[in-house]
Amino acid sequence: MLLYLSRKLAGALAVLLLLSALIFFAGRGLVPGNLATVLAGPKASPETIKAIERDLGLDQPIYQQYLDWLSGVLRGDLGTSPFSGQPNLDVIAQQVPVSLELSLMGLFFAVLIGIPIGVIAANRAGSGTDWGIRLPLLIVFAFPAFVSGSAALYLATHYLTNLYSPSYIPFSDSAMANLQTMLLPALAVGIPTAPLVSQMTRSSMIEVLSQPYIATARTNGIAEWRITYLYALRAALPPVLTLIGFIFGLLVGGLFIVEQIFSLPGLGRGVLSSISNRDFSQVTAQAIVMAGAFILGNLLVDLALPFVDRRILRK
Amino acid sequence: MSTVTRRRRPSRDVRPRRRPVQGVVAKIAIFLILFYAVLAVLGPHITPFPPDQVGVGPRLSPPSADHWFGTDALGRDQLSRVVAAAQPALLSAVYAVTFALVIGTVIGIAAGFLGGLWDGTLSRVVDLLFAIPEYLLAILVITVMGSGLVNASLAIGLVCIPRFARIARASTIAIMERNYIDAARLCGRGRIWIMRRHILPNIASPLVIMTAINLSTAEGAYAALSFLGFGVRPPAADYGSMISSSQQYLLTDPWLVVFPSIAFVVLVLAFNLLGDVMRDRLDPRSRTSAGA
Repeated sequence: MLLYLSRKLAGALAVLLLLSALIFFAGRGLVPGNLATVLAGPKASPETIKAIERDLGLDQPIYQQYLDWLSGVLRGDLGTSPFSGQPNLDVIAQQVPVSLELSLMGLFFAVLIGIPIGVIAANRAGSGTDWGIRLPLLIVFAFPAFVSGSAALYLATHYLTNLYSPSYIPFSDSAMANLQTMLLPALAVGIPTAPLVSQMTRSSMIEVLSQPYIATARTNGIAEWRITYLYALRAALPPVLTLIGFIFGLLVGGLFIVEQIFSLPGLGRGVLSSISNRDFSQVTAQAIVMAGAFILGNLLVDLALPFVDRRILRK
Repeated sequence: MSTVTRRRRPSRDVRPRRRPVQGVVAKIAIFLILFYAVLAVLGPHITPFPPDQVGVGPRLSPPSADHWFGTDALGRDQLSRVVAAAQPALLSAVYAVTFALVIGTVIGIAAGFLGGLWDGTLSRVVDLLFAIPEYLLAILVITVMGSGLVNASLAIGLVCIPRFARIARASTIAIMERNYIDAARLCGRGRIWIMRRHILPNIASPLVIMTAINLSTAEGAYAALSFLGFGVRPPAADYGSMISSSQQYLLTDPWLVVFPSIAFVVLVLAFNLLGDVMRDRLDPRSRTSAGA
């Protein structure tokens, strides 16, 4: 158990380290030419440029700058944007709750819709109804978040005006008003993801249902719903859980798009606006938070797996 | 006992019965893809108006006899733009998947065949790449390289590499213990020769499935990136950028969003169906990487 935990933890740290380098250098690539010259403006004197370089540590070699930034991040200091003068942490602290709520709600809907459909499809696998279930799912899957999101926005603003309110209100201010804003975006994130969950549930359930112990359970006269939902589903869950970890990554992508469509002040929209402002400092801070959250999500799934299926530890 | 035999036994033994449906689905998918391919090749020559020409009709006119799909805010003909958009849509998917297929296969075969330190190093790199959120990676890469059709496609291709590398490695290892590999070695054949002549043809079928599945995800990802403004440069049209630039007219002139959306969804659906059919046909286990 301990070995399994430490291996997963070490893997996550390695990924985070590599990502931090990628993010840092991508951020620097955002600003063309000499950073200090860009910051100082076109008419700045060489002395001003020198001063800015010294302030930001730009006169150091690039790897030194990276290490300084990394040690800052590890101490929880995400830096201050030289463009807006705001500490990046303050900006991000406002954006994270929005994105977190959106992705958790989206995941909730994906699982709520995906798992039952997958179980039902597995029970009817091979029959003509199988395609009947899979085809609509494939059609839904073909609708990316930016199409389904636009459609949802249109329908809601035209026909369901009290279901959706377009201005974002923090959960702490008013839970009802907050959910009113978030429900629709969460569905726009969750529904396109549901087919992935149901596909995986279906194939995993099919494999489990063909195991001898399921047949034994049947000959022992155990009720069919018990077999399906208590025995088989539990054994079929690990790959589905792993997939849910993978879905965190998809949700990050969904966030960029859905937050943009519904004008939610979250992390995804924040990254995009930082990129268009060429605010390298803010974008690196936001990206590292996003990557960290994603890796943490996957790590949590990995840590939860042994509790669902103890056999994992023996591998 | 009869209740047991009556149970629907899944998978393998019932597959033949599914064939007729599959045949029809496959034909529809291939027909649709060919249709888009024709549009992509003939695109600029068959559109009723030049797709990027401003003011060929009134601004924001609804669908009419002159402009079947209506016109946008600059008076451009939407039908022409939707037709022209087939080209970047197909090209992006083909670029991205080809890039991922070639690099991923080379990495996968090398890791599986050479083993040892090679395998260890290459597999770690692939794992790392796999553990990065896809869109974040793609956007970071585009940030550095700049936006545009080719760069966005390559960024998506980079994201897809681990999938190909993993399946190529696993399939290579599975056939490594076959006698013909040993035989080729005993004959003194070089490692490159064995990889090219024996391993590559024998791991082709999982790679083909992976290609088909990834065509649809790559196309979706490209449209999403283009929606966010990282795709083709403005006057040119593609589905993602058309949908995003029409967002502000969604409530007043919904057709501007509807037509490019339909065109895009049908293409992705065709790729999805093709991928699904391929998987059922070629994959003996029919369960790997469900739709991912």
